[in-house]
Amino acid sequence: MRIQNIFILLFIAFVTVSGCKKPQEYPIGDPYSQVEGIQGTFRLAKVEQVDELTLNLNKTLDVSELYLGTTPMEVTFGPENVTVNANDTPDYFTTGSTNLAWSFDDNTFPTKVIINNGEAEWDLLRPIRTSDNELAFKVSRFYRGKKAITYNFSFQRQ
Amino acid sequence: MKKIIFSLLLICLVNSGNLFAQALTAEPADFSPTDSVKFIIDIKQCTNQQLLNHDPEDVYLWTWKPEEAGRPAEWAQGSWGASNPNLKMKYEGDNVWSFKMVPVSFYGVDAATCYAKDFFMLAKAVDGSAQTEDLSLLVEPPASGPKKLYVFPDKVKKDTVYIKMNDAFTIFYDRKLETKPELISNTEFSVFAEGVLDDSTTKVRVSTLGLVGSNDKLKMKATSNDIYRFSFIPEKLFAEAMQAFPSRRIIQMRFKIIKTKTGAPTLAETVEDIVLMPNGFYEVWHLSE
Repeated sequence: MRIQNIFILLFIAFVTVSGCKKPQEYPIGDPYSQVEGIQGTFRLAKVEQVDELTLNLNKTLDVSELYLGTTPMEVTFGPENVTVNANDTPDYFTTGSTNLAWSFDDNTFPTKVIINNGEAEWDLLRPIRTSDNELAFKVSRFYRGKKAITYNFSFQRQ
Repeated sequence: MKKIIFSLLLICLVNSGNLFAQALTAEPADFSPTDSVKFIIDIKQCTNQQLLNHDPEDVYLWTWKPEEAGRPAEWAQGSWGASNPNLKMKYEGDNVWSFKMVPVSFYGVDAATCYAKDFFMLAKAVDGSAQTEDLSLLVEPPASGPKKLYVFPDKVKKDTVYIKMNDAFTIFYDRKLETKPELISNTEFSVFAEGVLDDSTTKVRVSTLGLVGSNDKLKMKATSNDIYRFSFIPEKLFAEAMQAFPSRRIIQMRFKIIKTKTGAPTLAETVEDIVLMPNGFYEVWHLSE
């Protein structure tokens, strides 16, 4: 056997044995609480309008300029209630009252914010943990039984 | 010999009726996948007539395009030996069965997918013991090409726009398609906005025609590729003009794109109008250009 082959066999044996070493296990910790993450005040930063009925490929249009104004909408989440200050933004979210009860559909993996036990629902577009500064959700509007328009709202934590 | 030729011609003539009759049709024929449509299967026109004179209560829809596996559970196929009861077809008489649906809701896909994949289906007995052959209905999207004026949200069908007075609405103007010499090389455009109130005579204007050019709120924004846009929320746009008419409603909105200038524009300096009129409800508007 050539000496070069012996080195190759030794190398393979070394790699095989070292690969058997038990990997170190690291704890991943508790998941971030989104119930805590959503608490605070968020100011509207961007609005997109989605045309749900069009056949065009371009279904989304940035309409932020119409919704932000000089004083954009602010939402403040407490542990149980949310207050919406529409300011210069058309208020599609609430019935005009403030200090509304809110809950998630699932506290561990929330997909919706439910307002006043189902009076309104905001579909979350991304997680909102304590480390996240962006709160994003969408609201769809149904006309004559058709889901016609959806608005994607993006808020920044204050 | 002559008799044989005559008989063959007669057979061809009789069969030509079937040749042009379709086993699968839709009502209305020019339906949009976002609207309700009735699919109709006429067993008499099918090649496979196992369902001819079948029990009227035992005919089910079996469809696999535009979507089969990803359909909402309510409209899932079931199995070949046991159809989903929700897919039972309605007997229309004379060996004709129908099934009514809104395709985008039934199949759980968007309208573009319906146009791309078309509709494939057959009728069958609940246990699969009798069936028609595979039937298809090919659908074409509405013809559309570059337009000088278009809106967002887009028109549905020919002229319908689904918006409320507090929704965002955008008018686009593609200057590349302009033919008027006064506008071809112009780079600033504004919009004259007028509302007709529900007494059918009173008109409210955001600015008079002569002052539109000096109102920044009415200027169009240049986007890429020589396309200009004007976005607004009708309720906000007309809010100031409507202050004098608190109990009135707008029943018509008219928008005229004009060359931005001091004073009123000439006819040659104006693009076509866009007019919106509500269809009874203030969430469905008819748009004319």
